[in-house]
Amino acid sequence: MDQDGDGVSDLWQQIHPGLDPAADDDGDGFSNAAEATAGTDPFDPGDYLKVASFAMAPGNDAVVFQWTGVKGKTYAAERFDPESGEWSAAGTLVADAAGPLQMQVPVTGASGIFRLRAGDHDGDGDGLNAWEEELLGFSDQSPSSSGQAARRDYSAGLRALEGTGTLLLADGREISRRPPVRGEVVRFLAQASFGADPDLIDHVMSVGIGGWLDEQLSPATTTTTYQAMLGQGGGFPVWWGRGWWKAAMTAPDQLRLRMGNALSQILVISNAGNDAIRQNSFVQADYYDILLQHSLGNYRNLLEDVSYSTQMGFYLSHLQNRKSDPSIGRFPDENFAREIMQLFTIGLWELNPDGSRKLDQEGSAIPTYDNTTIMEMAKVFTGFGFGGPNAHTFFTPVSGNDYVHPMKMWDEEHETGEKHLVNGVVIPAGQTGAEDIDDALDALCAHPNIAPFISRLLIQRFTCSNPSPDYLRRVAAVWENNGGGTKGDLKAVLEAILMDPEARTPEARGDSSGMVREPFLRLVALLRAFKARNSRTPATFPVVIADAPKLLGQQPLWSPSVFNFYLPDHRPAGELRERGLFSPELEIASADRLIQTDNLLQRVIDRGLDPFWMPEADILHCDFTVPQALSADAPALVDYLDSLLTWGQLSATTRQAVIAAVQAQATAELKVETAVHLIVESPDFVVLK
Amino acid sequence: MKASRPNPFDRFLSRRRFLGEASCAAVGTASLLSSILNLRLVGDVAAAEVPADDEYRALVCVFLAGGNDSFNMLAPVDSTGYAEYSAVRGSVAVPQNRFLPLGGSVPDGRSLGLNDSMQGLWNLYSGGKATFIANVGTLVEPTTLATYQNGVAKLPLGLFSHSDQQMHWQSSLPDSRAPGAGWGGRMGDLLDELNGAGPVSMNVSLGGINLFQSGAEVVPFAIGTGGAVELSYWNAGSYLSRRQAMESIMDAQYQNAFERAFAKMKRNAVDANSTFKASLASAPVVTSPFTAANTLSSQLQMVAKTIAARDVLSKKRQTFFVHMGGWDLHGNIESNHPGLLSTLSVAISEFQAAIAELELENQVTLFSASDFARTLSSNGSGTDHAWGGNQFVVGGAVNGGRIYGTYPELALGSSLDTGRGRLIPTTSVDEYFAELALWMGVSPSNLPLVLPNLTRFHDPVDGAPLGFLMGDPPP
Repeated sequence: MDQDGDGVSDLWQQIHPGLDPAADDDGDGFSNAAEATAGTDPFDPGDYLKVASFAMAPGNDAVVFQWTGVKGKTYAAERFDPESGEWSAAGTLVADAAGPLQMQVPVTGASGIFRLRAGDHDGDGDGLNAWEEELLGFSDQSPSSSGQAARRDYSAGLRALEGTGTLLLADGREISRRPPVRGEVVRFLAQASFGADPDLIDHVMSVGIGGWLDEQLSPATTTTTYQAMLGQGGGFPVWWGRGWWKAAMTAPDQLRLRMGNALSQILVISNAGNDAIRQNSFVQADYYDILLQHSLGNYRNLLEDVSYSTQMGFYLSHLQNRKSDPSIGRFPDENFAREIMQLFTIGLWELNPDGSRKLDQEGSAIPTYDNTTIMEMAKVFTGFGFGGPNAHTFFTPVSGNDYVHPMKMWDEEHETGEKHLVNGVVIPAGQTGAEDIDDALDALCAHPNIAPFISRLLIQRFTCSNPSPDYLRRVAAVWENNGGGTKGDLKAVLEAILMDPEARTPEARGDSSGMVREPFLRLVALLRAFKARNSRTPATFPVVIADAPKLLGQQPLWSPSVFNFYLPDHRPAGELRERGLFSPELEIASADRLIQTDNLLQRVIDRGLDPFWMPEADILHCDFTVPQALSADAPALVDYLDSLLTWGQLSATTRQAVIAAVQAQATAELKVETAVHLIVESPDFVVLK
Repeated sequence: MKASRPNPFDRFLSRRRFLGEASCAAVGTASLLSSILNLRLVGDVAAAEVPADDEYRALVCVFLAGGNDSFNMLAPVDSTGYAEYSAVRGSVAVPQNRFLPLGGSVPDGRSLGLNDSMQGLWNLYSGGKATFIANVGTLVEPTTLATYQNGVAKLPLGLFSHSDQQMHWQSSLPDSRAPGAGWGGRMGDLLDELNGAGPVSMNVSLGGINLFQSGAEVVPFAIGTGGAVELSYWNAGSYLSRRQAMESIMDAQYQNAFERAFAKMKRNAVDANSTFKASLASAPVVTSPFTAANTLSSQLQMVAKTIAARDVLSKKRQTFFVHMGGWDLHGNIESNHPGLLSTLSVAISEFQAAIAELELENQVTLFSASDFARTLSSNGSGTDHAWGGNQFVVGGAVNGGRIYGTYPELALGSSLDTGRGRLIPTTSVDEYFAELALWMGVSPSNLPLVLPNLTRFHDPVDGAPLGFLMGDPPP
């Protein structure tokens, strides 16, 4: 647990509050951080890792170290090689109990230089080390040993430590719990919501990250974009945008809505160039609300509703997909059959639980299916026609609002033969269409790929572009089993994504940590931070922003194809590509968009969000009252904005540049606009690390 | 004491192992890119073998995203050939009288026709300035139905999948899912030293960031149809302090790799846009009309304007990437496909007129690319993803008015049919692109640096693989 990213366990720091990791309070020559690593007392000059005895073993073929161990710590003996100048491991030992320990290290030459190092060990791979688990009363043998069935130990540990009052440790010590830290809260909200605003920050500061997550995972309000768009007035084809914006800007169930955004980039339909969907706001809202409805539910149910949705049937053309008629050379449409496997469930290559590709004996990746499987899967998705009260046969066309009804299976157009699917699953002949689809969705959801494949896509939408294999394995394990034996429980998966050491520790992966934030969500985060509203009562929100796809490269439900705005495996040219690092969002950061996004944000800050040159009463304006009051003191202004927008981690260069620019401005308005604009266009805000 | 590590003593070991694996995984690509760079450092290849002539050359890639049903674009129209076509295409067959006959016949005696939605392209073909390459597609090695079926052939990864096939058409490395660079980028790495210095890349894209134009050093400069854009506060005196602050922010050193990447991309964007805008402003004006409502025309208009600015930009070699979507017609193909073909043909005609106005007809070549052709059999209202298809090449340098490659037999169950009329290509993209690269000035001995798989299909010492651009056309 290292939420402040200083390299020292938060638990140790609560036991020894206020200690500077770099200092050496007891003057024993070992820094406080080194004592934290060794588990020794930083106030006792006699307590540090020391070798009690060091002697040749009988027979003179080994040396024996003896020392006093701390339970849960790992000890390693290392040998120095004078030729290479490097230390190499000579033996390791995990302390199962406190007390005397010894280790024997073989000797090969006449002399040798050895050392003993203490460190931490995470035997169950849950993100808590053995020493932390020991003190929290958990076990390092199981990732779910906290007694909270549906919660992994790391998350349980964070929650136990976070808060006010005291925490009783397993060794009898009573320590102060760790109150939420504002910068950590703001950073967390950048991952888990559409952006922090002062009230939300205050709320999470009072209930804690764990407490807020509990509220969000079982929300009292479940927003729909349909309800949110009502009552805001006209612009029928693009009306749904008002619902999306109102929900994002004002609804309390932020995590659920962020999940909806993530799912809309996996189970993609698009309004771009797609008339039947684009021309009807109810139809757009209905599809997005299917995603929201299941966003804290089960992926299997979500996949079923998406497969049956008329919008998806239209977009990937399994609507009115007829059974084969070889006599006239007609075969089922393969579009949805292919994408449900390639993009929505299992992907192209067999995966290990940590997301790496399985290899065959020749070292080649193994395809999950071939084109025959696609042709077979295409037969499953035959027989869907329009549903709803106006559809009377497979062929009845409907229009307008009838697209909100799920498709109906017309078995006379369903192909009834046997179907050979992935992983050897065979659907027997003679079933109904609905039975076939159930079996096919079950087969896809049972495939071992789905957990690492979809988990990775979700991690990329929330916390980082390049999760470590360990992080992905931990999340995929929760997908496989939520603690109660259920697969695909999105609520548990979300908690695993957000409450993971790699998500909660800043710069957990060094300089490749984090991600470029989605440009559209950067705009939303800016507007939320300053509670942008228009002057109407009640406030209304924008319809779709006409230029957003051009200027930002994004808009909800507006990707150029089923492959989303960007690919999960995009590697931008230059350093990132050379190092093999992915950055999906930089795929849409073309030279023109980088400029246009900056111009758009400047316009929004200086003049408000004015998507369609609307009357002044419709334009959303940021509320800069608080920062304007600080504007006479440029450093104070920048500190305030840093704490609101960049979780207190604004780099020194950016801070100085912004202060200088603020000081050159004449008015409070210009000072604030300048500062906000420069910060939201700085790499410090663009990258969440 | 990062809690997530299984064993702290493995830390450095793991890091080393990680780096080792990363470099192994990318070994093919990395070694290829570095071989190009090393050769350039030696000052050997490029300088010695790039043509000494002073002539400008540009290649324009028209990418038809989604998979053009190119067997409804180019089809047999003689009675036997049309009967075969009509039988296999069933409900999606285009009527015989909707094809414009193309002069010349293919060697087996069939006559081909062009969909009559493409009158402009037909005019160019008839004037000897356009040609078609038949049944071209991604191949890892020469492939037959037998080697396809018995699993002996190495096949393009992710056959019939959009994302993979678009990647392969752009990289020409269909055996890699992490190609790292596109063939236009690799070609750029070799040819860029013919160009003068400046922040604007020789590879200009109207279709966003793309793999085709991405090399080790040369990367695409992506712009919109409006051309260059500028930060609105960049040249306004009242915003000087904001500009200065933004410059320090972009030029600062950042600890995080994504921060570094973003800062660098934005700095490049600002500099390139600024130079580009100034260059176009001082370039000759292109007066030829382009249809504003045609999304491809407006992209090609900006290409023509950029070409007109070649001297100001000090470019002797450029590539352009334009992009047109909407081709993935699983449904409603009869109502939608003709309109797409017409849009495409109109845009190309307008572009050729503009290039003629610039008197560069022999120095600019336009070629098409698309994910794949589509199944010859229908799914009732559309067609599905297939493999080999037909492409076109347009320009004054083209040995036009005839068809290259082998126009395939269309009947289901033919010796090329892998099922439903997904045809094994008989010409590889490597052969297609090799001729374009040769024309751009890549020497035969350097061709494998641009197209590493080419030698599996064609020996570069034998000259042009097909003859549609280089040398004399085959008899």
